[in-house]
Amino acid sequence: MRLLSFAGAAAGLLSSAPLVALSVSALLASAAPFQDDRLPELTERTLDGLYEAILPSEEDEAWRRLPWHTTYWEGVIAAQEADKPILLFAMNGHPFGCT
Amino acid sequence: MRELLTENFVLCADEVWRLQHLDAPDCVHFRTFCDEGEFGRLNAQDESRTRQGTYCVSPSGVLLGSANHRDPRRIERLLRSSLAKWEELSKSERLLETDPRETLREIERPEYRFPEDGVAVRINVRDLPRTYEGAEALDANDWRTHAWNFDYAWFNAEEVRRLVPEGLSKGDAWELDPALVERTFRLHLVDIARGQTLHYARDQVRAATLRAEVVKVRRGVAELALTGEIHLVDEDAERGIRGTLLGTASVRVDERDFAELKLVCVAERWGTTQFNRRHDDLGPEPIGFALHLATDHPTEKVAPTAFWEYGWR
Repeated sequence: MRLLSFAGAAAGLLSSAPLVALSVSALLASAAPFQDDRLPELTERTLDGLYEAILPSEEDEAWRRLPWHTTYWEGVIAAQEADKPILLFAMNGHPFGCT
Repeated sequence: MRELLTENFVLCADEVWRLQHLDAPDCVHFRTFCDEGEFGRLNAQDESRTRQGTYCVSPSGVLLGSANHRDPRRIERLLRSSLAKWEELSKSERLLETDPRETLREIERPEYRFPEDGVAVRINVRDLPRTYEGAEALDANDWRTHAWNFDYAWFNAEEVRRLVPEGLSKGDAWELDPALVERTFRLHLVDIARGQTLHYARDQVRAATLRAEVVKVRRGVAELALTGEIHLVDEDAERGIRGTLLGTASVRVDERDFAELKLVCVAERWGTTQFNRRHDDLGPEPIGFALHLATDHPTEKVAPTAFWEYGWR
């Protein structure tokens, strides 16, 4: 799936008044860290538990135990040398990254 | 199944949009066979549709079989039928006439820009439990409840030096390079838990900060405490993410590079995009990101999804 790029050049379009307002907002934001009671607490005490809970399990990553080539042409090169057929797994987003 | 695969096939994986659209030799080679399956092109008859799928093919480009399915029984049938077709081919039919290594120099791709002297960070993404009062119960049998995804962020050597000041000692504190933090947050701390999504433009960044403080230095390694904030909102405020970051890192003081990283972001996300499967889950709801250094495993050298935004020359 091809991602569209939003790259914009907004800074030059802002007038001076909104810039002042944004600056004040930024200062206020940095002074008062975001809090939401619906979110899990992120503290030194909860850090490791949350970290482990987000990470994939070993089973989730079992596919890494297979001898993958990470590009199609590296697969072609290896298959030519070994005189073997290629299995290509192709996805929108590299299968070994964000899909 | 594992032996069937590893003993008889060379396994590879790749990004299909590039193979489907670009004119590099590997992409052209892919397009010579991708639509030659038993039922024509995979994923519908529309020429513009993705060619996502599993292909069994000879190095010469003779398609042995294809499918876009996750059922292991169907994939096993595909493997066996492909092997049978392979056995019917002569050596001259199944192999390329020229050495494919000669073609490698004609191929340009982001993976070849991997920052060997820099840092690759892996970003893991997953929904966090909805334990707040009034939260809607989720179906544990729905794959989306347990969905996770990941991406990589790259930093070349010069960028790593921008992140890590010289001569660190206990008590030093600084805000990490704002431009690099902004790039990382808007391109990579995005809601990909269920599928690809759009990143945020620079003018959609309301907050992107990461601060470090040296808590200890021992044997040339500085231990850092990390804190940060993120607030990204699209132009209509219909999609966004807002939260805080906390973590630790170890940096080698003399080399000014990272030895370890453990960084968590807890945030609320809202909104949806075309492919991230949030159309019935608009939020705001909790989402978590866990960042760490990528390993040296070959499968961890895949380019960041939004690599073209890095502007590396």
